[in-house]
Amino acid sequence: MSSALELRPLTSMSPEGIPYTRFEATEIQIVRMLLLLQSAWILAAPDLHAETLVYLIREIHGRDDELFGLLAAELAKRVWGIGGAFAQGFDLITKEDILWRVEQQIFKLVLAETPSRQSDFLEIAFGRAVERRTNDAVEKHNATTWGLREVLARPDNDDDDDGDELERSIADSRAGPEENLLHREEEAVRRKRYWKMRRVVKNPMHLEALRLQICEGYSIEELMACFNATRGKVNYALETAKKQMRDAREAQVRQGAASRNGDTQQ
Amino acid sequence: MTDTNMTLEDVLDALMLEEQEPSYAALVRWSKRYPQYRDELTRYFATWSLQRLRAADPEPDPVVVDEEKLVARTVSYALDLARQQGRLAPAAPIEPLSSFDQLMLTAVYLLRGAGYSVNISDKVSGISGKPASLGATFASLGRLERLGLITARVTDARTDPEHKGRRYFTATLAAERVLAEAKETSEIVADFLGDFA
Repeated sequence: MSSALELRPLTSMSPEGIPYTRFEATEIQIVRMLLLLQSAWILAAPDLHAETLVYLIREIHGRDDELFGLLAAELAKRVWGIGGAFAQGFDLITKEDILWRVEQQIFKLVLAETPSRQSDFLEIAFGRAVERRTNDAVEKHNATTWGLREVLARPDNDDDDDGDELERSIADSRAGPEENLLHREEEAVRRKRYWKMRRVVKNPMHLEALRLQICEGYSIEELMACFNATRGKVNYALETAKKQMRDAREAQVRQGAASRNGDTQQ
Repeated sequence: MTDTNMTLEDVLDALMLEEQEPSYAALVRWSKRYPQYRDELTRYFATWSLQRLRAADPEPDPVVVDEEKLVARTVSYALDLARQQGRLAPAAPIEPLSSFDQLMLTAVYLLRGAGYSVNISDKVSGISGKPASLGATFASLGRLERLGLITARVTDARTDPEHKGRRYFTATLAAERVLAEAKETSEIVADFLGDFA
């Protein structure tokens, strides 16, 4: 009896140079499935590990559209389930867009013709791979103009008041030409401010805390949650970063004054 | 020794495998390991923490995505990708199998993943009542494999050195459909397949 089938090996290594291997439970499940007829894979699919589903989908070649489709559907549901849990706080269109991006990335890796660290990783820790890609998609969305608008318009933003909120809900939400222009200007100011911060604040955590507070309107509590840090640590990061900004500004003013004096003396 | 030539994507995957939760200590640790990605890691940790926090909110997300629509779109995308790669062949009708190939397929099916050339050959002999040569068995297995009706798997030499390199065959889903048709036309196949399909 074929008790010990040779599974397709993973080819990549961890950063420490250790070859990636599947978890034992996954390998046992894969072997068990390979010994069954493919029609049994369909019945078992809802109970299989996502890593096993990835392996089995990669095994399908030839005419089995139906089997491929059914296993792919099961895997897509898993991506949707995991991604959906981590893509919260968005409107329907944004959430769908984020999940669609994640699904595409995952399936590109599942069907990758050349194995890589990332494609191997799906057979080791599928859930973490999906969570990571969801975070990436969220981060990319937040960095877009649209995402930035959403962050600034959050109801828990300190700058908002009920009057503004009401006005926004009654008014036509489409941006007019004047609003577009103002928005572009705001964007330019924000970007300029950020690049100034980047030049001056060297500690990445301090820089990110300041950026989130100034450009995206995060409260201290949100920053504490973001960095999983105490209030003291967040305050220290913000104060240090702001002091560096002030020092840089003062230095710039002094430099400007010195050059003006030089001009007058000449 | 840490591989410093990793791409950001690889670093993030490795990070997710190692870290259960986003924390400041973890951010510092990974920023030290990969200083070239310091800014990206900081941004990633910030997003990760916030999304974890939102996911932990006991209130369900008021936004409900149409799961069926999304899954159907993904499956269609994956099928297209697999077809473009040639991984899935266009659904052309399978030519009717010779009676010997039908018997071979029946034997592979009945052995349920435990069939290899010798016992498949024996099984065919048992079904047909005539000895099947190994040469004919190999040729038929090759044909069935090319048609996508069976798949072969090799034993692991490390855990099963006695049967090193032995190829075991399993009937595919397409084969099960072919057998259902064969059962209608072949008495012997019908006898052996019993309640199948």
